[in-house]
Amino acid sequence: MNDVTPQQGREALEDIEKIGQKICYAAGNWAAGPILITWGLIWIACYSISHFANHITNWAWLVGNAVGIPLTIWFGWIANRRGPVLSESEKQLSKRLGWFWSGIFIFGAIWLTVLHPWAGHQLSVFISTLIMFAYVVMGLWLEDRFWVRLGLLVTAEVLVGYFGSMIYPGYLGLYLAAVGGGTLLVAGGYLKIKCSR
Amino acid sequence: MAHTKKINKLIHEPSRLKIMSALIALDKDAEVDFTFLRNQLKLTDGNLGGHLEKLQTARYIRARKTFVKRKPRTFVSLTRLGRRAFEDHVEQLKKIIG
Repeated sequence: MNDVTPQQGREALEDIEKIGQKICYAAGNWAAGPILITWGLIWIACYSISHFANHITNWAWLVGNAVGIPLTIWFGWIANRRGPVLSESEKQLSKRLGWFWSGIFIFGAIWLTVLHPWAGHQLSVFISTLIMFAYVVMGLWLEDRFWVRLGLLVTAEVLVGYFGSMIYPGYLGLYLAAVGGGTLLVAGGYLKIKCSR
Repeated sequence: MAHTKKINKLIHEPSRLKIMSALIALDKDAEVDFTFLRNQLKLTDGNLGGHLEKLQTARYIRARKTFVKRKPRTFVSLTRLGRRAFEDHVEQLKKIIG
């Protein structure tokens, strides 16, 4: 195969480009699938509780976060130590992502403290869209359209639910559980399959 | 009309081109898990193993075997020679397409 036609050469270069993108995407998002699945399930459980047993909503979220945050850190740690791609720059990036998310949680807590007290619906929308804002920023930072699209999609879903609840009150929790939680769950499943080891 | 520029036959074989493309896309010091590479490139164990052996013989890649939680795992990385050979190969392909 000493002879390669321009057409074959072009195809080979396209394949090189495609595979490079695919492998970087899968390596970068390897831990993200389980994290999204975790948060999808937490959203489904906690928002469902806010609909069916509103009096224990705060407790539900407390438990949800107490499960979700350590699990997220654990998945990140696993990816860093035993992920499919090991490199010094991957480790540095994971650290920076850890600081980024810590910042989001700290600033979120500051804003919540300052703006308190809020109505239940506003609180739900604020926290959900704050996390989605972080997804969008992370996507722009990592040049990964998946996170930008997911952040914008879920934000749009949350806003539709919020303004829709002014017309049909009493269903925001159930709506966010099904649509918001469902989207995170499906997105997580998609990444899990696409980036599997 | 076929072009007659010299092409690195070892790299240009489709599966090996995939392997090298995957390895070069990552950081210079990156090591990639064998199973992950197999799944992402949609190759079989035997197929990937065979191609890796050829690339290793040419000293284009190196493989490191280790145990993680008592399970054997193999990590593959590109050598400096392999990186240079692949970059030369890409240059050749670019020249061919003009």
